[in-house]
Amino acid sequence: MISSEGIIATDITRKFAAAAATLAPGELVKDGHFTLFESVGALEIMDPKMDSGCLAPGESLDEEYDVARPLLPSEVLGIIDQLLCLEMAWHLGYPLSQTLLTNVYIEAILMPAPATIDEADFIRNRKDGAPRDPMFAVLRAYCLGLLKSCWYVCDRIKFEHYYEEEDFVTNTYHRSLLDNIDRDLIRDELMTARSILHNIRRTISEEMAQALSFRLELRTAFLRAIELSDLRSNPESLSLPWSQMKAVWEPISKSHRLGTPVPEAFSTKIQRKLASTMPPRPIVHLSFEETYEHFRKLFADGIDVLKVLNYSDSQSLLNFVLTFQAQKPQPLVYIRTLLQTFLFKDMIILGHLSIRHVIDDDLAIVVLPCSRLLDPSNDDIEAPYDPRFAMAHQMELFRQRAAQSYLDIFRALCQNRCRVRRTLYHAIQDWETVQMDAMAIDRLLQVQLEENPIVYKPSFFVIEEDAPDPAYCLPLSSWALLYKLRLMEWIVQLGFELETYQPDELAGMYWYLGHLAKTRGQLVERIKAFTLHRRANHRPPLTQTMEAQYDRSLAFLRAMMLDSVATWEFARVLSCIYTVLLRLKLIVPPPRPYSTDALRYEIRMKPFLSITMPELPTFEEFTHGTTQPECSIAALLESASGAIGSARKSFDVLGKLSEQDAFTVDTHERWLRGTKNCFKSIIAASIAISTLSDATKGGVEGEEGLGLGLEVVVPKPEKGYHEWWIVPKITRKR
Amino acid sequence: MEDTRTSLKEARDVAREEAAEYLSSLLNKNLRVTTTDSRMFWGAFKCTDPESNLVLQHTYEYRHPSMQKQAEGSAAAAAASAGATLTSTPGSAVANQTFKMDMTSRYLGLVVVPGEHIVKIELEEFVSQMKKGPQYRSPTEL
Amino acid sequence: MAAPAPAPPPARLAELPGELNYIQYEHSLEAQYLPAIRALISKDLSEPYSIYVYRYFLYQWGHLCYMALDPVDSSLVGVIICKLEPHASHSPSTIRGYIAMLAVSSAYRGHGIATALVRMAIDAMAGRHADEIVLETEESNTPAMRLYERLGFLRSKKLHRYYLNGSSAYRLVLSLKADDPDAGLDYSLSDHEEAVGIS
Repeated sequence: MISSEGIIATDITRKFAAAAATLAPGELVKDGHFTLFESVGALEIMDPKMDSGCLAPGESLDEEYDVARPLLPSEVLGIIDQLLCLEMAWHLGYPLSQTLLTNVYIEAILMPAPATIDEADFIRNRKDGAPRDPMFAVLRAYCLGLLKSCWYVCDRIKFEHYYEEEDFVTNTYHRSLLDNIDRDLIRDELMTARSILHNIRRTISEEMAQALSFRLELRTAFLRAIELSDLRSNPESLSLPWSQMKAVWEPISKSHRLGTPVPEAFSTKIQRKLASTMPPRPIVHLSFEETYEHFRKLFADGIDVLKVLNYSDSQSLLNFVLTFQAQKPQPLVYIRTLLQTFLFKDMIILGHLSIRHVIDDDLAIVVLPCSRLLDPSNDDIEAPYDPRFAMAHQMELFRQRAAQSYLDIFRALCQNRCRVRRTLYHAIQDWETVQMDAMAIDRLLQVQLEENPIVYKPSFFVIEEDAPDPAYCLPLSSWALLYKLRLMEWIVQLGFELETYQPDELAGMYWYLGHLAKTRGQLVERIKAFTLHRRANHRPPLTQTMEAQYDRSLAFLRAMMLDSVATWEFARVLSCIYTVLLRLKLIVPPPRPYSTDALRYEIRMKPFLSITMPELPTFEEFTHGTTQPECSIAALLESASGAIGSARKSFDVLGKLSEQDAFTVDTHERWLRGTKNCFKSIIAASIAISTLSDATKGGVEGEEGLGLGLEVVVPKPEKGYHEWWIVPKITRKR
Repeated sequence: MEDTRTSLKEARDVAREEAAEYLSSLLNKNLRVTTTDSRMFWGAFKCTDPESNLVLQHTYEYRHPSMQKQAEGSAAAAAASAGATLTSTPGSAVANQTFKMDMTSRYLGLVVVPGEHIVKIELEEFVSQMKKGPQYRSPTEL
Repeated sequence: MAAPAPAPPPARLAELPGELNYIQYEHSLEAQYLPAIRALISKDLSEPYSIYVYRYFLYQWGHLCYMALDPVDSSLVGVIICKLEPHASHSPSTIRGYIAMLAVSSAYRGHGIATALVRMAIDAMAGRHADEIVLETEESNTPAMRLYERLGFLRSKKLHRYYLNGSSAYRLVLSLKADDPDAGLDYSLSDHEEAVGIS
């Protein structure tokens, strides 16, 4: 090792200590390129909390466990079930060093690294030709299947966007997870082990043989599921191994009681042999019940995620990703990476669509049904003076500009929820510039299209009284603005979901959400006006296909309008309720001697500060909108009551849409559940309003709130019906 | 009195300066640091404080095999040599043989070895550089 | 910085032994107090820190470390450790204070010692032109969150599985100065920008 040729080591112990001792307290001698900041990550040797190699007095480094000792079938089952718990803990984000690599059998299989399938065994010195002990064969085959699937899982995850340590730890501590051993050989070992079990089923009991066999089947199916997922083809055939796992999972959990735990086969001592810059950490103990739940969810999600491959339209795809990722608990990282792989691998969407196909589909749905701009034959025009030549060129420029930002929305949604919110901060800055660039292209294209401006008068969301000037359609920048607005709303709503706002901030944040949703409604209305105008003025008359395209687009705009109205109105309701609670001092802001409302507004709104459309309300506008000083409590509650009726109606209509009209093909059930939960939140809010109305009948203001005998609880997001709608629980004190 | 004090202080300052210079000269050199539990840490010296709490970079931990593993190794060596006895060199003594076992090592990265647990510090240098002679001697030695 | 370890309910002192002494750390106090600081903090935190974690902060920002001492025997009962430096992801760069560690001996809790230490640190950093002060705290550490939020901190983001024990954290921010509206935004994606690497 270190007795290298040509190197000499001199003992400098005393000289060093003497020199160091002359340093003044706190003084350091250090390499100029080495910062103390780096040193903070250093492990302190001989501190048992940090030094995994530190032995207690009299403790031996060696594992005292004998992997060659005979194992009872119930012990093999006990070890396998413990491995299932540790495997799940790894999926949940704990490192291998605290999970699977604490098992002595796995360590013995992996070290020294086996070169052949035969060496991949915890008993290496088996005599040639001697048969394996049946129980060893079962445990070994299980471990091989487990390790191989861990290798694939790790490999897949490393290939996609994820955050090391935060989402998942891919570190294998220089242990190779059988990457050099062929999957088919391991499958053969699993098969062999199952036939061994079949042969000895009388000896070890039918029930036990079956229980172990199911566990081996699980491993085979897992490997198969992984293998198939590379294909990105027909979801039905891909889902077979997942369904198989789902099917064996119930009997596996029911036979868990047959196992005898073997805790001594798991040890953190193995961490001492792992190359690691991490302090020693305990084995993660996940109960079998928790493990059961997580695996059940994993298999269900594994089947579910495949449905994304059934592409129907771009908006259904977005709704799929949106609702799939909003599930609580969120799908495991492995499933999230599968979704990313399906979506983006090799820049081919869902394995068979070009990015252009999806973007054009989206433009046609949102802003450009039956538009000449999306006619693929434009690409064939070679005459530069032909307007179609310019259209093809400008549209291609636009696609190049927008494609990445568009795909990034999907990618962002695949992250963990905390990351989604932060990634969207960046995304809205990006969409801000996409919108600007789109505006320039819109201006060029309106000339090519010889577009006549129309006098467009907002009917529903009236902004100003002035007679409007004739306006152009501006489809591309409208499309970009619509996405930007949706992302901005999601940022605010994720703020509720992640409990980022304190109770006294809720009135303001719901006010701002309402402001954004209202702006979105105004935009949708504008888009609709131009779509209707284009449809009415279409020459030559529309064919049936074209009619259908227009219908589809108008259906989308209707769903979008319903959603923005519902969001706007419900946000307004909650803002009013929280304003009343603040006035009644039922929610009391903390003293905050070091802060002002204006400073906090600035921090809170930082992500939106550089957005020019819609411009961030000034602090004064925000304060006025939130406190509504001109309204009495009675007036606030009345206005909340009015808004709640409208919100309820919108959610109700939304919930009755078909999956085609809601643009939730293949995700309708999940989407509907979310919509129904919003509806339930509205019911809860109307109860809050009536409790407040009853208690304040006759009129109370300000300090009197304390005398109302009301108790207010702002529930945690996961305790309400929907994480995005925090409805206060208001009860009368007994 | 005044003079003595000044010169004492000066002497101390000089000693301090030399000490700091000496420690600085070791920076980025590879050290082998042995701890009270007889493990050895091999890494590049990056920093120290007055208590000799050393920061080592790119560190490997080396550990002597346990007594049990040593016994096993010894037995294996004996067996191997016994096997050899049968085939080629009859009559050779098996007793008192020596066998080599590598220390087990693993990578740890950046570590702090606290001064209180250090029993030995060794400096690694290339023989080729050490043998170059005069330039490595201090003027007084010449 | 690190997540606090679950501690059994401490036997608290009903009354403090008298007015505590609050003092600023300096290098000459190292021998007397550094071991006590380490002991106090490591008791409260699940994640261990080497001596150099303390060196990192105290070497450069010892003046931003305050200690609360028992008036009777001058033993350490509370400590706060901070740093203050230009923050690069802002442009023009701002001066950002960071509260790295805060600990109060369990027997002395409930007397506002932590709040007093935080206020001293904020005042010191504000005096040195900090634009803002940030820190992380474990999502389940309600007392800490309440302490900071009462002073004016806001939760700016949630950090998924931030600590080694798998729990998440919130980043808390206290803005001390009105921002230049043209200044860049701190929507940095890296969470660990503040953390000292091992959390």
